[in-house]
Amino acid sequence: MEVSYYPGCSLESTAKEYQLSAEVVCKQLGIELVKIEDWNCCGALEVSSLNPTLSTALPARNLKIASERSNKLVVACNACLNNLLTVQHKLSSNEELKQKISRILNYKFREIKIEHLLDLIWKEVGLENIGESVKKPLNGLKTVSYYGCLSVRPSKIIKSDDPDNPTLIDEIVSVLGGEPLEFTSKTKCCGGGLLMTYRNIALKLTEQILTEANQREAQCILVTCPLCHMTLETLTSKVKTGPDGHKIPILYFTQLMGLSFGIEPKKLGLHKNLVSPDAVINSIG
Amino acid sequence: MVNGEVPTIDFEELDPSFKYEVSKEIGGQNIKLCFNCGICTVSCPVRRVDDTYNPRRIIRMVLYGMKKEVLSSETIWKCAHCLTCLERCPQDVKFAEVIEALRILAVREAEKGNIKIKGPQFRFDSIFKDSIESYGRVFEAGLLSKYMLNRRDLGFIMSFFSLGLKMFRKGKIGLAPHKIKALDDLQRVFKDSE
Repeated sequence: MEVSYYPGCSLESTAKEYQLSAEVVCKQLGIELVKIEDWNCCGALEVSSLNPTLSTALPARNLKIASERSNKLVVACNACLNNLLTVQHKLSSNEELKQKISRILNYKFREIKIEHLLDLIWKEVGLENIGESVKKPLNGLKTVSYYGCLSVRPSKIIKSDDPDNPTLIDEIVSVLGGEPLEFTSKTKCCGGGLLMTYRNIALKLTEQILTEANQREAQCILVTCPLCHMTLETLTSKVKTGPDGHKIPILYFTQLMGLSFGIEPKKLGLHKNLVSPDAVINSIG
Repeated sequence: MVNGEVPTIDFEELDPSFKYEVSKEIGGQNIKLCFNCGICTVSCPVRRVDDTYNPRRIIRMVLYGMKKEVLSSETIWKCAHCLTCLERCPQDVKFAEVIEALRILAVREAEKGNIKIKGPQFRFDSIFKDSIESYGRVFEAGLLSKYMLNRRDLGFIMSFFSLGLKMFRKGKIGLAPHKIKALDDLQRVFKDSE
């Protein structure tokens, strides 16, 4: 099955390991991610405070490209997903804005289905089929799933399984033979939007998340977003952890899926993670 | 309004039309619906770690007409955009969008020379936007080096330089930008969106 896919800037640079693992895991599951032609940056969190028209037009240009080729678009980055869905919602509910953006982009707006890669894998492939691909069960690996903010809020626009207690990654981990732990920080903010500007705030927020993961004795944190990944990985060295100074590896959920499918770590980009994932790789064997 | 202290209100300085100005901006439409319950503030993660940041207070100040204090304060640049306030608000005020409306107004006032924008967020956002305008996508190495030079903070530069180096060694950031094919077309979109 071919699916139109919007990678976003991070997956082509700072989060290459997410893209590598997403592509190879999807292939294993019979899905081919086809990048939409000549896509542009969605504006991330940085444009909306400068120019509201532009912060609508940038995601809308990608929606236009996507809608010309397909009725569906898959996105792997939480921030891009949020921007694309929010803009689609604005265009379908605000006639004046729709007219303006249509003029600027020469775009005949039509709604398409936009969903996160995690939803695609969970819904379209299903847990049973995922289970059939497992070659190396996770041996009870203890994981916590960190969903972040932008793939669950606002729940009126982002239709996740549960905005307060999402469980899709946890369900997948169970099928892979791991042990997903309770994690009250799963939708709390890591401060990623402030990483470059108010680092102390981001550090304190990240500390709360990493501390809970430590207290629960998680062997690995699983994420679905390159901004969360970058923030947690960058700030983990600043957070005081256990007496042995052990840092919990932070993996994209697709990287862990790939390991349990028996895919080589290098093909999953695990050598690119900043916090060494060796403990996870070794525990699976 | 700094350091978490309640600002004194100078009645002579109040601008009663400010709330209408905010509600005309995209994102600011619902500000007058606020009934002061404070769920935005108790649910705000930034508030928990930085008591100078107080969403309810910012809303009150807008409704009272404290235009200059609000628009020139650094606190309006500290929202992390987690959208918890937006999710929890019983009145659909959408504070996370209100803050964007306030930033837009602040930039406009600063352009007129009426206020000065404080803190690094505006500069970072502007450099980020320029990067998109130049290439169509974000060019991390260029963005980071421009921003580091702009911050002129040695400790900051050192910490991000070492991170940047690590990323470069892992092949996560390249030295050449990726330009989209239809760059001319995208740059026209930038102009038409002004």
